[in-house]
Amino acid sequence: MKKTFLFIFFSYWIFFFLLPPFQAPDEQSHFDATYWIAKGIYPYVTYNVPTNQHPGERQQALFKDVILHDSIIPNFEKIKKSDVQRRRDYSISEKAQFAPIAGQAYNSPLYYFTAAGMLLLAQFLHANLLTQVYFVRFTSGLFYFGTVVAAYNICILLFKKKQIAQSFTLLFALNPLVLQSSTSISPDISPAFFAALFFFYIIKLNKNILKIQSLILLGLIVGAACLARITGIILIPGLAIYLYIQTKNVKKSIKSFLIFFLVVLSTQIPWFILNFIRYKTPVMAAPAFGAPITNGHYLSPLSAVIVSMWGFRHTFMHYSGFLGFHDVYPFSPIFIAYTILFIISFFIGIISLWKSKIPFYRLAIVIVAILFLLLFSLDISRKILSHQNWETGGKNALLIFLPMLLFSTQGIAVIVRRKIEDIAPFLGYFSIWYYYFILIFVLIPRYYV
Amino acid sequence: MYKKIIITLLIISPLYFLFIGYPINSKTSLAHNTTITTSRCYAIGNTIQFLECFKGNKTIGRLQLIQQTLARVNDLQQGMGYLLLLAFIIQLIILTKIIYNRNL
Repeated sequence: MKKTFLFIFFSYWIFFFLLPPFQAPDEQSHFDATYWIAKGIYPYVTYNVPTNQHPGERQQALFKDVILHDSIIPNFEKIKKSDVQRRRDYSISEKAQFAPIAGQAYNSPLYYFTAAGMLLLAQFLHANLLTQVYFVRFTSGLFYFGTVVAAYNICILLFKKKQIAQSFTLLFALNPLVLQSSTSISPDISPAFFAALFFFYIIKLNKNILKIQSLILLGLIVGAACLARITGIILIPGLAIYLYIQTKNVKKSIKSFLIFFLVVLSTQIPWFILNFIRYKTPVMAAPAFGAPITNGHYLSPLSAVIVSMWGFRHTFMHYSGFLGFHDVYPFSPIFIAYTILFIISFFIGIISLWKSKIPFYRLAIVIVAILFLLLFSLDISRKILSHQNWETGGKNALLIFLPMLLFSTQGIAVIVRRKIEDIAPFLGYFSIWYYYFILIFVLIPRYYV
Repeated sequence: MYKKIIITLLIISPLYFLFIGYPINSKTSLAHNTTITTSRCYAIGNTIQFLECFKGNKTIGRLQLIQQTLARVNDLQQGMGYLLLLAFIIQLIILTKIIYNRNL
């Protein structure tokens, strides 16, 4: 495992160095949120403030030189000479123009607090502003390495063989979307870490799950997952169903669930209170439905369902190497073949594992189904209620990517009529080959040719 | 032994492309509304354009590309380019060890 981990470690840093800053969606406003928390102020959301006028724009302008809006290579020369690098601090009058507003401040706060810690560390070391940005980017790296370790341990518990675990860990860790999310300022990877911890303890605790200590531990993990990203809430109904699968007793499972749920709820209270004082709602749900300012281009419910179903392919497609929102993806034949194979093997794997009647696999299937339903209903609502037409991406499903890979691996094993241990080395080597493929045909030409 | 060498060569096969080089300057610029343009001939992900571009003879690859990439990464953070190169070399050594020791 040592060598596999080292390989993943260096693969991560190659991506980290090669991917220029501010390439992931909304990276600058994620940085804004971190910036204000490091200053000791929890930023306000831009809800109902026209985006071209609110003072937060001035804050974002700090990074104007490195934010890209077209399909060209970054202006490295300009970045080198920009204020972002030259200026260490701003005058009091300039600072007075900045308002504590961040476009992403509606998100759950745990990631931003961790990132603020990294920012304060960089400031303590007197790093310039661009170096501070790199420090904040590494927050995602911390969650990434945690997820990789958890993924390996899950596989050891599931398959009992080091070689399978190593191959599977490579498959997860070297996925281009996982790497992109882990090298950019965005909370997307953080719930994946807590979800992996959740899955690990579910397998490890097994029948001991009904003990109070176990329920408190799981409650704290799921609470942290919810505080990392709102999608973490899918683990709550997932556990409720799992408790019933384990006990086959409604009364006993409800009692255990209530203990677990109270722990989860108690971790959310400060966040709920902050939202309630500021916005008169415990959860800032509005941005999840898209921008509240609409241009009147709505879809009928039926059209919204059809469009959303077709758009849902993006959730799978993005894992083939969709590095950001500036048309950065591998050659279309590979992009399409990867997606089709992933979708087919995923569903075959689900059917096969459901039949196995192993409680963990059933829990994983239920959790994946709940997240898909959540994303799907949000997508439909967004299309009916606002003009937003963007689709749910793979980054939204990162917390279930691990079980998705498990299903897909099982699906491939069923298709080729082999055992998982027979195909695992092939998948491990494939993940390394694919990593180099994305590096050479997507990442380097996109930014450096 | 031969099997291990073949597996290593197959896995790193995308890297050979660095020696062929990326086709440049044989098509009009892909960039819009900007003063900086890419020298790359094809749009990322566009297979047909990518193949067509090889009709032009001009490419960038090998040492020139590596030097350019390292210089640009260094532009962002002084010394980061060298760390990138070091990480890449160590990664390749680890890969050969993984294959040689049959770790997967």
